[in-house]
Amino acid sequence: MSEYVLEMKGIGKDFPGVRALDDVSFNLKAGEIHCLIGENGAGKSTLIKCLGGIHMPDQGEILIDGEPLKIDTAKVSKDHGIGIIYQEFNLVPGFTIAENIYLGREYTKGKRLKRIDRESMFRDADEILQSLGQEHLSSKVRVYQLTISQQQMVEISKAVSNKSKVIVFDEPTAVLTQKETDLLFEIIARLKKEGTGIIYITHRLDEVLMLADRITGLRDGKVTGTINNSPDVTKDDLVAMMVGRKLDAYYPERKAAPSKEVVFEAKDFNLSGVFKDVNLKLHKGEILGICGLVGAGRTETMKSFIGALPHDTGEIFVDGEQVHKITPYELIKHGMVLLPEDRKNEGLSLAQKASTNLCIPNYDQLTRDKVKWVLDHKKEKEFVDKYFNMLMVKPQLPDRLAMHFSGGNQQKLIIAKWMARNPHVLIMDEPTRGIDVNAKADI
Amino acid sequence: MKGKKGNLLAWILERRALSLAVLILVLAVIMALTTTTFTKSENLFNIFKQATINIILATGMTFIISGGGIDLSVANIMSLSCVLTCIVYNATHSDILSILTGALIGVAAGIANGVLATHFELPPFIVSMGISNVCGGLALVITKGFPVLVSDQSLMYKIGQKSTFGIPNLIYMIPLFVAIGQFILRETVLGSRMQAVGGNPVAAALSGLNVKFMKVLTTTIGGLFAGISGYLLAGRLNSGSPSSGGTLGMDAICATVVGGTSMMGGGGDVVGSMVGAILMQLIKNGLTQYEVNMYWQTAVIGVVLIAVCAIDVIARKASTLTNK
Repeated sequence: MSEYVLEMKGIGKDFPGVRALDDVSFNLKAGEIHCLIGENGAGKSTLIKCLGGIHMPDQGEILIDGEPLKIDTAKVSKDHGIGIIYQEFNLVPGFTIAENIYLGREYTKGKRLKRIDRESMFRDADEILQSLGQEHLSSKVRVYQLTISQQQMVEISKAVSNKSKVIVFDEPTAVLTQKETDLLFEIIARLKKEGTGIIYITHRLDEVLMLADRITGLRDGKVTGTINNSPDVTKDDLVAMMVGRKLDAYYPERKAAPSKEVVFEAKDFNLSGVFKDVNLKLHKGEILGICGLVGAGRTETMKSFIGALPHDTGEIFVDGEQVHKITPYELIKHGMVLLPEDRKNEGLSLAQKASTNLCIPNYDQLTRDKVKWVLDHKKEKEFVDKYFNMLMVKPQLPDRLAMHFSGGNQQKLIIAKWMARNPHVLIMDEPTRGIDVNAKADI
Repeated sequence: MKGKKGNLLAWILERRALSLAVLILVLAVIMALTTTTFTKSENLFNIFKQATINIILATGMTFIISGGGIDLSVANIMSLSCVLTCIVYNATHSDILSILTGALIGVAAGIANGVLATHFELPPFIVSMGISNVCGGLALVITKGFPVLVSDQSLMYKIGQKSTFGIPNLIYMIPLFVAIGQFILRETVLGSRMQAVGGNPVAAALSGLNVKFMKVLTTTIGGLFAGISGYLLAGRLNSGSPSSGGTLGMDAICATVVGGTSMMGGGGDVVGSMVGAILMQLIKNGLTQYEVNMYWQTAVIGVVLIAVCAIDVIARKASTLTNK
């Protein structure tokens, strides 16, 4: 028997334009909690997906109990005792808890004509729920009736019922309340005691220091180090492992100094449970950085400013003038635009041409001079060419569908469509996420 | 957790077939008391005879919809089967060959629907519309638009036109096919997996299920039931009419959804669809009893469909357990 239940050696994985994992080695002992930390896009999820059979690594090998294993499907991974609780749960809403736990491994009864044996499934599922301290939950309840925390319990039950030797938790507490989190930690402690190896991924450094036996940092697809947890380890050490990159040379020099003139102001912005008493002033020519851990409410706050999410109370001023109806339509009219974090779903219409994407918010400027409700295709073409050149979008093929551009060039398309509106206030939410270095520098 | 109200709604949702059956009984009692003709055995048999084809079509449709798909082609698959089963019988005088023809047409069209939608990733809506036109067109080409004669020696004639123990033979087909469908969908592992694929294909794939195969299986079963419906329809109409499918495909979708199968896939059962089909037929029959212009029937059924759907959504929301 090997010392480790799981070893990943020299794992490498390429995606078009990005090296997602580069020579990553990672191992896990039975009864150990090994935390995996890193920024968004560091490669944590990719590594887990290699373990779960969703991605096939291009290089390296994976050993379970010292035996090399080729994990090319989710079934192989499951069959060898790896249970993964992804951030997005994978449950069938219309099925009962028991049916979800035993999906793919259903019990049957009868010899010649095999019938599904729900009664036995309910019985065993109830037992598992009980062992997790969830006596009050009947396995006959359908999943769509459950809270997020209860759904997570179903996912854990799935892993437990499969006799998993390794259980991966990917950001399990991001969606939980404090009470639910405590319960989860109790269960994790119980699993650890029973000898299950646990990989725990999180952005919450307190949790890392509290739970971990060992900690591995990932950055840009490479391991930055693996350390043993001890009272001497501090949050600063963890931050260094996650983000300790050198100030890269590609950041542009800052030339323009901000003026005193306020272009944007938010007063007492509140959304219960999401953000509280946000007050913010932005000056002309100023770049204001907004930072925080995942789940801190950055994206939500920015979206509320532009009216894409609701708010309970608060006021918005653009160029000193109060915006009374806070909707995206009104704010765009006032010259404020947002580059959303979720580029592919919220920033672009991927199945349409790049040129169409540029024109969509700008059709009011692209009409015939005399008949304002008829589009002028000549103007459209000039418009598209102008902004394609200005932002150096590559390749220079405006008729291509937006989905066929790389991440960096998609971001440039979004910037281009808003540049045309000559915005006074530009909010960029994680604009360089998942973008290669050159495109980053351009942006 | 929410209070009793949410639990009651959840209870009703869980027992859709039962609650619809109660509704049917209530409607039936009202009609029996207020009209003179409703309780005549001829009228009652008529309701079930007219519902038979819809029930069998809806049985297949339950597989397709709870498997996360949609199929607009069943009506025309049925038309083609209706025509060809008659032609094959007239040429061979073999009931078995005639039934096999119907089944094979259904299976072939169902496989085409499924394979085009999964392996070639075409939208099922469009694919089934195309298959529908192909089948409907073929039925017209083969018959040049004229109905084919049904022989009174054939089994289909005996099923469609004769009675046993005083009950029309066609009505016996309802428990037969509903039992087969219900057993496959709810009692076998395969059926349960088809519904899992419909409810959440990603979860199903991560559990090691072959998602594409399951999807093709649902459309194939749907096609098979449509092919058999065509055979029975020829007997009931006493004619192999190339345009006999008509709007029956939409009625099948309607019965399935009213019967509790969510358009999002993953739930529902065949008994529910049967009860849904009977409810629709009862409403149509009731409107006739009260001498309402028959053109109103379609409109009323439309309102019922939307109302049931709305109740569904509201009840689902209300029955969700929350911490708040």
